[in-house]
Amino acid sequence: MRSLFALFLGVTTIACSPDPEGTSAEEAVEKPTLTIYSGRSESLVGPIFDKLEAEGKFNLQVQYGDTAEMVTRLITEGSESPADLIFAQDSGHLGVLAAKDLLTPLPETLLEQVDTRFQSTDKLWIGTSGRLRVLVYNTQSLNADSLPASLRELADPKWKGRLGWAPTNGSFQAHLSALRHAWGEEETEAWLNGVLANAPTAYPKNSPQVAAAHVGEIDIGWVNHYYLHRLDPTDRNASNWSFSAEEDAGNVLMVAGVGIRAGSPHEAEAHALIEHLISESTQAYFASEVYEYPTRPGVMTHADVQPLEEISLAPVDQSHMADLGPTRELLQRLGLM
Amino acid sequence: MPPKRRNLTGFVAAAGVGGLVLIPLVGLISAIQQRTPDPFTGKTPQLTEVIRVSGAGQLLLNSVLLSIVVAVGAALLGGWLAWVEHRSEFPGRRWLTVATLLPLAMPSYILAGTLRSSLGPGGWIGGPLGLPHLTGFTIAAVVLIVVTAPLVQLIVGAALTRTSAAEEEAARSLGASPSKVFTAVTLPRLRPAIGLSGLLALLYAISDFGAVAVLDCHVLTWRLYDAVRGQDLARAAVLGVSVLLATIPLFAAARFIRGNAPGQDVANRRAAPRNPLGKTGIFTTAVAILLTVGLGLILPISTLCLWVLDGLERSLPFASAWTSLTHTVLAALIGTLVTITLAWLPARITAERARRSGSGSTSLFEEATYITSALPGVLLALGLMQAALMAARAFGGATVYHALLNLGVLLFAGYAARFLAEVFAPLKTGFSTFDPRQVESARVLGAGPWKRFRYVTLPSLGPSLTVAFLIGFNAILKELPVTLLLGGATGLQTLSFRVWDRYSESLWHDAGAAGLLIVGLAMLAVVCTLPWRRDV
Repeated sequence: MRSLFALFLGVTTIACSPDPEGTSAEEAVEKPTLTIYSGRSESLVGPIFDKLEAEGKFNLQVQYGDTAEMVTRLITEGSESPADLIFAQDSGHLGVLAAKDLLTPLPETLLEQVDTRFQSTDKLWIGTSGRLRVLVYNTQSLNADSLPASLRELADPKWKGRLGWAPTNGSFQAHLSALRHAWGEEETEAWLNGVLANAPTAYPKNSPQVAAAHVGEIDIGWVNHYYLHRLDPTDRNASNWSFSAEEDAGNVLMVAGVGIRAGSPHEAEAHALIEHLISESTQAYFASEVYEYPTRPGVMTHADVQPLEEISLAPVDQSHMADLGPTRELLQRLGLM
Repeated sequence: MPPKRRNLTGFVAAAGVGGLVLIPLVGLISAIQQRTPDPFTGKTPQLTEVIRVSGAGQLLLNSVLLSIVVAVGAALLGGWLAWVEHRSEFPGRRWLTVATLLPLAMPSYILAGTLRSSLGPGGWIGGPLGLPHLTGFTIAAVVLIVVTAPLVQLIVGAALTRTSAAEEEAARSLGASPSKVFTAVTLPRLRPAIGLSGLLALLYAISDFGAVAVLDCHVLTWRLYDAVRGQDLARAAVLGVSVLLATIPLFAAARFIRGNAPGQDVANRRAAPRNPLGKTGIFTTAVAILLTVGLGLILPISTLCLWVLDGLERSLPFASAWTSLTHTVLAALIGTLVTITLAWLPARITAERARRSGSGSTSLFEEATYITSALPGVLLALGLMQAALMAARAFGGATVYHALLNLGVLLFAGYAARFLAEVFAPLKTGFSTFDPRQVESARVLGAGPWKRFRYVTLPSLGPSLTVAFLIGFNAILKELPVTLLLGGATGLQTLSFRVWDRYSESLWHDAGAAGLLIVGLAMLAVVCTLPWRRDV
C-alpha cells in the first residue's frame, strides 16, 4: 500500500527518498525492504508474510504471479531485478534459475534443517513444503480394490473415457519429466500414447479435475494431493490414491521452495526470512492450513492427509523435474498442447 | 500559429502518442535478438524452427478462424442488441439492454470455467440434462462472442444515437420500405462503427488465453503462453509477431467493412423514433438476450453465488473486500483516464484527416494503434518490461527501472498499450460525426477554449466518450497479466487478482465473492453512465 501511495506522491517520493525502493532513510538503516517474487498464491502464503510484518520483523514487498511467468520475468530483468527472493510453486523452475546462475548458494545452517531430498544438490534453493502427485477418484464409482496399482496401468483400455488430466499444468509436466528420466524416452512416449488412446478429458489445471471427480464427471484425475482437502469432508465423493507399486515413479513429491537472487544486496535478511519459512511454526502452518507436507523433519502432517511415511516415495532427482524442454516438445508432438 | 503548422504539430504529437503502443514491440524484437541458449541442452533456438515445428502453422490458422468467427458473431449479436437498445420498444427494454452489457466485466476464463462446470456432465444443469463435455472450438467461440458483443453494442449504439432521423424520414416519405431505409440510409452510417467494433472483437479473440485454455481449444496463444512459461521469451516473441502479421489481412477486411462513408455532420440532431418489434424481431431479441444475459451473466453469476453460499454454509473465511475494491476502482479510473487522454489526440486527428480527404479511409498510423492489441497481455507486459530495461540500462540503470515500476509508470503504460485500441475506436467514431463548424461558431461568438470544450465539444462527444470510458473501465476491471507483472511493485491487489488467486487454489467461495464484486462494479459503471449514453 505504501508503494501505491507513492504512486500519488510520485515525483515527491522520488525526490525526497534517498533509497530508490521507496523506504525512508531511517527504516533503511534498521530494516531494508525485502522484495519477494512469489509464485505461491497470496491466499496460501500471504498470512505468513503479513504476520512477519505485523511482528515488525521484516519490511516486505511481495509480488504475486504465476511461478513460470515470475521466473521468466526474473530472467528478463537479470541483474536489474528488484527481487531479493523467489518463492516458487515447484522446484523445476528454481532449477531453471539455478542453471542460469541467477541464484546464490544458501548457508549450511539453513540447509541442514530440511530433509536432504527436498533441496537442491548444489545448495541453491531449499524446499519449504511439498505436494504429493496422486490420483483423485470418485468414491461412488470406484473403490480401493479397483484402482490402478501403478501409474503405468492408466494406459490399460479399461480406463477408456474415465480419466482426466492437465497436460499444460506445471506439476504434470514436471512429473512427466521425472518419468522420462526414470523410464526412458521411448517408454514414456509409448505410455503417453496408451493413456491418450483412453481419451482422457483435458483440464487447464488440477483443481477442476478434483471438482470433476467429486461430481462424477470423471472417475480418475491425475493431480496434486492438496486440492481434495478443500472440499467439505462431510460431503465429499472423492478421495486421493497413492500407488502401492514401488519403483514406479508414480509417487512423486513436488517441492515448493525458495532461493535468493544472485546479487541481492540483502542476503543476510533473506537468510533470516528463509529461517522463518522453515521454522517449526511456519512448517506447521503449511501442514495444518494448506494441507501440504512439511519439508522439516518431525513436523506433523494434517490429520486428513496421508502421512509421508506411509507412502513409498519414488527416489526422484529434483533436477530431473526441471528438465522441461524435451517434455514440452513431446507434448506438442502428441498434440497435447 | 498558422493552421498548416498547427496541423503538422498536432499530427506529430498524435503520431508520438500512437507510437507509444509500439514500444512493447521494440522490447520483443530486442528479446528475439538477445536470445540465449537453453540452459539444459545448450542449444540456441533457430527461429524458423519455431514456426515450422509442432503444428504452429495449424494453430495460427485456428487462431485466425476463431477470431473471424468471433468478430462476425459479435458484430451480429452486438449490432442487433444496439438496434434493440436504441431503436425499438418492448417491455423491459431499458434494463435488459443494460444487462446485456455486463458480460463485458466477466473475465473470459471465469465465464468459460463456470460454463464448463455447470453445463458439463457433472454440472448442476448439464448433469440432469445429460449434456456431454463442453470443450473445443464452438463453445470457445460462443464464450468469446458473448464477452465481445457488448463492445459492439456500445460502439454501434453510440453511432446510432448520432444518425440523422431527418434523413431516414426523408427516405420514408419518398416511399422507401423500412428495410430499404435501413440498408440504404442507416446501415452506411453505421458501417465505420460496425467495422471498428468487429475489429476489436477480433483482436480480443486472437489475444485471449483464458477461454481457450479452459475450454481446451487449441490455438496459437497456447504455444505462446507455453513459450513464456518455458522462459523462452524470444520464441514467444516470434509467435507474437507472427500473430501480428496474420492480423494484417484481417485489418484490410475490417477496413472494407468500414467503407468510404465520410463522417457526417449533425448540427441539430434529434432522436429517431422507437418502433415496436415484429414477431421475428422479438424472437431474434429473445435469442440474443438468452445468449448474453442467460449464458454470459445469469449462469456465471448463479455459479459464483453457489460458491459464496457454500462458503457461508461452511463458515469459511472471506478476505476483506475493502482493499481490493478501492485498489480496483483506483486502477480502473486512473488507467481509463490515462488511456483516454492518450487516445484523444490520435482519434481527433485521424477523424479530421479522414473528413478532409473526403473518405473514411484510414492511415497506417491509425492501424499501428490497433496492432499491439493482438498481443496477449503477458507478452505485451514482458515486451514493455524489456523496453524499459533497455532504456534503464542506457540511462541510469536499475534505479530508473525500479522507479518506473514502483511509481506505476509501467503499469499504466501497460494498460494504455493494451487498451488504446478499445478506447480509440469509440472516440474516433465520435470525432468522425462531430461537426467542427460548431466549435468555430462558438469561437466567433467569443467563447474561450474551456467554454467551447464544456458546452460544444463535450455534449457532442458525450455518448462516444462515455462508451470509451465504459470499455476502458471494464477492461481494466478484469485485466490480469499486466496488473500482475507490471503492477506488483505498486502494491496493487485488484479484485481480478483475487479471483485468479483464489480460483487457482480451489478457494471457490472467495473467488466467487470477488467475481460478484467485479460484476457489481461493472453494473454500477454502466447504470451511472446511462444518461450520457442513451436518449431515453
